[in-house]
Amino acid sequence: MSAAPQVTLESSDGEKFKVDKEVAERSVLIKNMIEDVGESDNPIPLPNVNASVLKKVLEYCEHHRGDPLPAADADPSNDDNRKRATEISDWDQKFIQVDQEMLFEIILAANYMDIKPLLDVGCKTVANMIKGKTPEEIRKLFNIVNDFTPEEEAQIKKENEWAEDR
Amino acid sequence: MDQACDHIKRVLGEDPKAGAKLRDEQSADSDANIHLAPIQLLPHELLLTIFKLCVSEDTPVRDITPLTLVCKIWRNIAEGAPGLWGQVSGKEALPSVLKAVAMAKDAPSRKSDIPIAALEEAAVPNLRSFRFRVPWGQGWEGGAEVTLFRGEPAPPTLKDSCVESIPVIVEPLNLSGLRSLDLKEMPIMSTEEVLRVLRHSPALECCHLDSLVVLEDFEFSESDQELLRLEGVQTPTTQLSRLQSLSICGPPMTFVHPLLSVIQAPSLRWLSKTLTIELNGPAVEYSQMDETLEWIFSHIGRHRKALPASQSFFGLDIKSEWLTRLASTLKVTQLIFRTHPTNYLHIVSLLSQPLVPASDQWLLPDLKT
Repeated sequence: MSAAPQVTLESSDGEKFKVDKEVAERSVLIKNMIEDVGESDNPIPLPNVNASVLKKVLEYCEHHRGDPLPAADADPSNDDNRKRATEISDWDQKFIQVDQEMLFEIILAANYMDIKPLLDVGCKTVANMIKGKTPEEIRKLFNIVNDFTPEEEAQIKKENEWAEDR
Repeated sequence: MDQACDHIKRVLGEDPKAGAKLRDEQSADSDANIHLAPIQLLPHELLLTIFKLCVSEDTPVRDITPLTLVCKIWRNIAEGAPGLWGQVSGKEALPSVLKAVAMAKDAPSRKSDIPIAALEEAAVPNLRSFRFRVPWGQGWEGGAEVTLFRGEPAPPTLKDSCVESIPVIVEPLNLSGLRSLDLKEMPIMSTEEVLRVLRHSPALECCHLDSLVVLEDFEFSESDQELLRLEGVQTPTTQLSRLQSLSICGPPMTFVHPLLSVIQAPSLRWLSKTLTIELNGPAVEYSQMDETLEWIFSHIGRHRKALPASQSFFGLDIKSEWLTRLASTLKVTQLIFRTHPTNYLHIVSLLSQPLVPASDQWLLPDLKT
C-alpha cells in the first residue's frame, strides 16, 4: 500500500509542515495552488499565517479530513445557512477555546486560506460572545476603545433612549 | 522552482505587507482600537458576517442596535449594510422598526408583520406584504383613520395585503402590483373605496372581503349606473383578468350589488358568497337576491358552470326558484343556511326535488356539504 501523497506548507516565520495532500486541500486556496502549479516538492508559502496558527488550522483540517466539502456559494450569513449552522459541534467548541488573539488569527487564516467550515466556527464563536451584551459589555470583552466624542455619544444616547427600555 | 514560487505568490496575490496595509486603513477609523483590540483586525466583511450571525429572528433590529453603539468602526459597518436591516419582527419596538426602515434603504423587507405605526410614518421601498390585525379579543385603540406611507402610494413591490379590524385608508395606496387583498371587519370601508381599490389592482388574483361593517348602513336607492356615477366610477367595467378567488362574506346587498356590477373576472376559479339579509320586507329582499344572482351570472365569465361556489344564506326564507336558478348556472358545492329551525324541513324538501320532473337529475347535483 503506497503512502498518501503529501505536501509541505511553509508558515510566515519559516516553519515547514508536511501534511497529507488530502488534509491540506481542505483549504480551497491550497487546492487551487496545487492544481495550478502541479506536483512539486517545494514548500507552499503561506506568508500570512504564522507557525502557531498554521499548526492549529492543520489540526482542524486533520480532524475534518473526511467531511464533505461545503458548497462554494454557501454564505453562513444567509438565513437558511445560518439556521443550519447555528450549532457548533463539541469537538469544534473545544478546538476553538483559545485566547482572543488566537481566535481572531484563526479566523483570519481561515478566511485567507479559504476554509469555510473553520471560518464559520470562528465567526459563530465570536457572534455567540457578542449576543445579548450591551455596547459597554462588548467593548470590555474585546478591549475596544469607545472612540465616540462626548458630543457624538450624547447624540447617540439621545437617538437610542428607546433602546434603554427594552 | 523559483518560477513556481513566484507563480504561487502571484496566485496568492499575496503581499507580506498586506496585513500592515489593512491595519493602516483601519487605523484611519480608529488608531486606538487597532492597537488594543484584536477583533478590529478582522476585515470589515468578516465583522459584517459576525454581525449577521448575532441577529435573532425574534428581535433582529434590537440585536443590531447595540452593535452600532460600540465604536465608530462598528457603527459604520452596521449602518453601511442595508441588508442587515431588512428584517424586522412584530416583537420590535416602534423606534427599532423606524430605524430599520430608514437604514434598510432599498434592501428588500423580508418580514410582513411590521407594526402598523411604522408604516404610517415611513416609506418602505421594497415592502412585499403587510398584515395588520387587532389581537383576538381586543378592540382597535388607535385613531379613527390610519393612513399608511404618509399618504403616498404603496410601493409597487407590494403583493399581499391583509387588514383586519383596523381603519386603514386603503384607497389612496394605488395597489397596482397587488396579488391578494384580504379586508376583514374594516370599520370605515365605503363602497367607493373598495371599488377604487379594485380598479387600481389589475393584478389581483385573490380577493377576500369579509364583514365590512359600516357598509351595512349604506342606502342603495339609485339605479346601478347612477350609483356608480355617484361612487366616482367613470367606466363601469373593471377587468380583473387574473382574479381566481373571490370571497364576499357578510356585506349587505347594497354593497354586493354595485361591486359585482363593475368587475369582470373571466379567470375566476372559486367564488364564496355569504349574504346576510335583514328581514325588512320579503319582497325587497327577494328582489335583491335575484338581481344579485343575475349580476353574478353576468360577470364571472364563461366558466361559471364549472365554478365551484359556496353559497351561504342567513336569515332567509328560501324559495325553490332560487335553488333552481343556482343549479342551472353555478356548480354549487357548498350551501350554508342559517334560518329559523322550522325552515330546515322546507329546505330539505326543496333540495330533494328533481331539476326536471320525472328525471334523475337532482337539484344541485354537485353539492357536497
